[in-house]
Amino acid sequence: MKITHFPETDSVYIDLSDRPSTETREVNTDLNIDLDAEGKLVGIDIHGNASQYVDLSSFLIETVET
Amino acid sequence: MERRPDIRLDWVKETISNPDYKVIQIDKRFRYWKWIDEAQKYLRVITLEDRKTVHNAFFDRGFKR
Repeated sequence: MKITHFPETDSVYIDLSDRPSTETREVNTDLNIDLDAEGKLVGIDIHGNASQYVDLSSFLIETVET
Repeated sequence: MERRPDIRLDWVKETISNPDYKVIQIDKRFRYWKWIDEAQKYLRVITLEDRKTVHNAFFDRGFKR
């Protein structure tokens, strides 16, 4: 997974896999999701006002053991 | 753009230079739409305020004129 921040445009792209997108769906004015040929999510494109959606000051990955 | 290899750069340029429809967003960015025959879809291109710098481009399934 890769998170790319574009501060100049207040945008964030979250790559969830290396598979190319074949379809982009608009969730709202600021947010698109990218799907592969099988309809699986490959990317999250916050292409406007990302700072309103994401706290970019910290990043935490937590794996919960069951 | 690298995430969306189906979108050709010449389509993006053509959409900006000769759009079927365009609007200015609240945030001063510009949206351009153009029907792409080869893809049988509308392409939406978003530029920054200068109308030149491409901010985003994607096939817009939801676009209806």
